[in-house]
Amino acid sequence: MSHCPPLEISVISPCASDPDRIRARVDLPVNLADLLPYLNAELPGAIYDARRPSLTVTREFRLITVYPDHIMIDRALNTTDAYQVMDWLRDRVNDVHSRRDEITPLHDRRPRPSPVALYRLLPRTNCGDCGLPTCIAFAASLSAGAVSQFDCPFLDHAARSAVANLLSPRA
Amino acid sequence: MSHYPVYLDNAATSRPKPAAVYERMDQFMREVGVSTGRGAYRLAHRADALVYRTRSLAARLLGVSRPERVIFTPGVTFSLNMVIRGLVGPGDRVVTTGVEHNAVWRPLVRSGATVQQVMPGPDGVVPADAMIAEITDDTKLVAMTHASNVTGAIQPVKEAARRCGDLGIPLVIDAAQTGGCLPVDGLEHCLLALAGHKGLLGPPGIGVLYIPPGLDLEPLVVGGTGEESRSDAAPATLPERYEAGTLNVPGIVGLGAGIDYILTRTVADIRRHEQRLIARALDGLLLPGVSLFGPCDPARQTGVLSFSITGLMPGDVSTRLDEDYGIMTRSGLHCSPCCHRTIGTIDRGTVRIGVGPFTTDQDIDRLVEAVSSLAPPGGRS
Repeated sequence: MSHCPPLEISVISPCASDPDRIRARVDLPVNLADLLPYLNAELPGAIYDARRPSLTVTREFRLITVYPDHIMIDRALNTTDAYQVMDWLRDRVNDVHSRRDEITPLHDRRPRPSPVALYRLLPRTNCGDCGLPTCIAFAASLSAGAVSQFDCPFLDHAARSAVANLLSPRA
Repeated sequence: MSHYPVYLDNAATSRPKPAAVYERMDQFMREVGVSTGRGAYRLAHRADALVYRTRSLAARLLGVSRPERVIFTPGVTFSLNMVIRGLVGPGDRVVTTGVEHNAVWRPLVRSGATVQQVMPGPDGVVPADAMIAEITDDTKLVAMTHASNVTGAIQPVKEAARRCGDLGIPLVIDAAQTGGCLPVDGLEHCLLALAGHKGLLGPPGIGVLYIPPGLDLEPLVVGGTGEESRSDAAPATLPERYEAGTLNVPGIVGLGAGIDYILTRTVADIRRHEQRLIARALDGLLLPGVSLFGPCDPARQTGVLSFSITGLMPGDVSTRLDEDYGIMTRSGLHCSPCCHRTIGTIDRGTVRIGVGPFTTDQDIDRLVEAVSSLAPPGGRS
């Protein structure tokens, strides 16, 4: 049985960090507060804040924050892209919900890799193409979950995988 | 005998539609009725959600994983023009078949490309090895129908797709006659052009074009896209790049309802149903004075069958079938003079029947009885 039914965007606005992208808010018909620790355990690179509560994940270059009663999708290309992200997230939510008896929830914020460790994997040219002035700034944002490895156009597949491994809970 | 109307022209447009098609289009117009992508209000978001739903349903039907690459168009003719105008120019080499609809043939002629037609055998099917042999590394595009709209003959698209995949050549498949009634999955690296109002059971005025990843077309139409409005050029992101202007949202909603029906009933079941009907028609129309065209094999054709009656012009046959028997068929060249040349009927055309998911055995029996009456050595009074 589906825990989360098909969703609809409630609000669309320009993305604050990139005016050519959009930010979408999706109001939820179900409360996900209890499920967040389970999603935290299962979604690679998730950042869980138990006080709010909220869970932030990246999907390539998009930033997704899940609150108990709504979802914010930042940096989506367009409406279609936002809906595809919603479909992906909804599938993950329903999957985790169906298997929650088998999952050990993670109630703590996962330790983030140090910006220095991430910086060593970057090109270190300070080209600025990612929108940030230096590679160390990008590394700090990567550690904080504000950007993803896909935001650096000069990372090859091997480097992206290495970054993903550092960010992943299974690393 | 009761003369309830019998509709056998589903190859032109499907009729009736599933009830949900009418209901959801009406519901959309009454309860939503706004444009997509151009408003910050909830009804606009509702319209966006409905469009996305159809887009993802179409992706599921086509067996592709990228809904944003499923483009809505005004129809399959528009889809095919988008591809041919977007990829081909004077001097380019294009390979196609000898049984194409004018929706493929005319844009190819207009493009100024050098067009190589591969002819079918007597059964209306283009031999796979002949098709493959013509596709060489100097080919710019291969354009072919999945099945003829005149004879129903199913063409070797999978073999062509494999060959094109090996050489990195784009293949556009005209799936107007096969969407919804023959599997079109397994072709996710091909361009797929479909009509929304035939086998997909949606309304007229809507079509689909699937553009595989890694392929970019020069947009046929540019204009307002609702998003990325600041730039003077068409956006690079899909689907907006190819969907300038106001979308036909009620048409898209209707198409979604049609695809919903197909996915629930399954393409396999629809295919079995239509094969059975064609077998029944083939059996019944084996009459003196009646000529049948194409494979005459339910396994090798869609729910389309062309025939003629000695001594009668096809147009007159269709008129008599309609006026005297209440049976609707389509006669003439069916916008495919290419195909009619291959079966020797370019001067007269044929009478064509097209069955659909709601055609019954009784409909076929009525047709057989009517044709028996019209065919020489003379009908019953």
